[in-house]
Amino acid sequence: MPTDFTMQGATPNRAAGNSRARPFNEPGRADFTFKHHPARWMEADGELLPQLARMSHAPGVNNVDHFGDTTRAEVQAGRGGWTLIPLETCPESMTPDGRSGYVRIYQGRGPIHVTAWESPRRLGSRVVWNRDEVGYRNWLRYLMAEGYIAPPDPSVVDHMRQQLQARRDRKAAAADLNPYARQAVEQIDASLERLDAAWARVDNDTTPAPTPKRKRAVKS
Amino acid sequence: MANEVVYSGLGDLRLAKILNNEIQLLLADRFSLRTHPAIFQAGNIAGRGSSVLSVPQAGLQGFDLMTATGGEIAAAGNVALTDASADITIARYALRREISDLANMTDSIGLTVERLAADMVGGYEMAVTNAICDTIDGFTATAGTSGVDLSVDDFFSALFTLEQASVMTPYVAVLHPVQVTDLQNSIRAEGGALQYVAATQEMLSAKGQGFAGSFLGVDLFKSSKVPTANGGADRAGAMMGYGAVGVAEGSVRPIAALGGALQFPAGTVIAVEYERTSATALTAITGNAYFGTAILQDGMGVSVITDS
Repeated sequence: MPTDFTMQGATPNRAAGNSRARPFNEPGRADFTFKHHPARWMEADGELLPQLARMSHAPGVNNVDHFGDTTRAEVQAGRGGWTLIPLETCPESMTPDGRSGYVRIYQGRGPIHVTAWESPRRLGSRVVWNRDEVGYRNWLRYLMAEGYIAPPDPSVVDHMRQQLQARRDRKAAAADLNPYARQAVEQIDASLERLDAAWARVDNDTTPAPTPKRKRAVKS
Repeated sequence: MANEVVYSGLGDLRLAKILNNEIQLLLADRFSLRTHPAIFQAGNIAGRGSSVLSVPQAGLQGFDLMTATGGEIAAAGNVALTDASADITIARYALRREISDLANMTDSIGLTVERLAADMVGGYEMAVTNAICDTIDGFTATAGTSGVDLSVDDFFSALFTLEQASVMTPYVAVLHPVQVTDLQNSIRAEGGALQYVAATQEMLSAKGQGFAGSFLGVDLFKSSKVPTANGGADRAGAMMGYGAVGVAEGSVRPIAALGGALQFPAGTVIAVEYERTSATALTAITGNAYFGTAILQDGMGVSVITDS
């Protein structure tokens, strides 16, 4: 067979090979649905905000079956007084990336499911997570304003106040001798004031509803 | 001087690098919570007719008090028996490896088919621990403050919640490593009676994986598998008493027709099988295990949510 010198050698397409995103060096985390219980609240910067928990979608966890069906888990959560927060409660205007829903998936050593307000970036071989706490709290306010989560019961706030008061009493006993304890008493007093102010806002129903910012939707 | 025997001249008589005889494990959290006494072992579900195990709960042994009848011949009324139940649904978890004959044959460090089979036990233990950590975020009661480091006060707060609810001991706290070091930091500033308790001193020493000591009568475990909370700003560990969380398992029934092909290493519920593909000279090792975890009684635990 004669040699054909007219054939051109192919050029390596290195850019295409390297453009594949490397997975993050982190173990996977299961998908989840947020849920809220009327007893779970937190005071954050003078505001009472719901403290959400996660209903994991991992099979075998809290009655999620081996197909990943969460029906039984949802029923159990409902019986326990939890309210499930569906993905649709998070409009695109509430997330940093302008996409609706509150779950995002990144590729690590398995799919990493996190909230829309967390995003990973590489720092050499390490993974650093950026967190948009302000954005997350804005969404919590939105959930309250839209009626997905009812305002806190006074007994819950009383319990929070009692916890702070117990902590203050314990620190105050040592405040004469221990400068750390003295400082802690001042901090707890400030927390108590913030809690009272937060409760006053809820009680007077003066919490301003956050105005959703109109963002351009990201093309998928 | 010439013809010295030097390393750089022994190209055919020296190796570029050799393997150490021992494998060093890559850094990972390998502590297992599966068998801690505070975790309710609901047993094996095999041969019982369902993949869902219901743990019956009844108000017996002092739940209802005897009441005065109000008269010598007054009729005692029936008292309704309070009952409840909590379900645990098991699911299948698996780990599979495949190794070629050449890789197996040339091994000099212990990375063989047998070693890969033994690895199934560790994989199972970590899967259960991961599931338990995923479970404990969901207690109704909470302690700690979002965005604020875990302190001794938060620890007391969680402990008091359990004590006020008369939760049975032993108590166990499962915290993220950052939460444990925050607690250590807080302990450093403690004064009064607490500073003289031996456990307080012990808590300040460096901690490896898993068991991090006992503080105020609570067994402390640290695990990097403790999930995040509040948009990733916090971690949601927990303190709980015996029976707050339960684990059920399911063991694969031995199949006589397979001879000894189905193995159960170290008496576990993990079914390990080998699969030989002669055409490609590959041996696959698959471990299958079935388990489920669930909160059994919400009042027996407290989610500890603090800055991470």
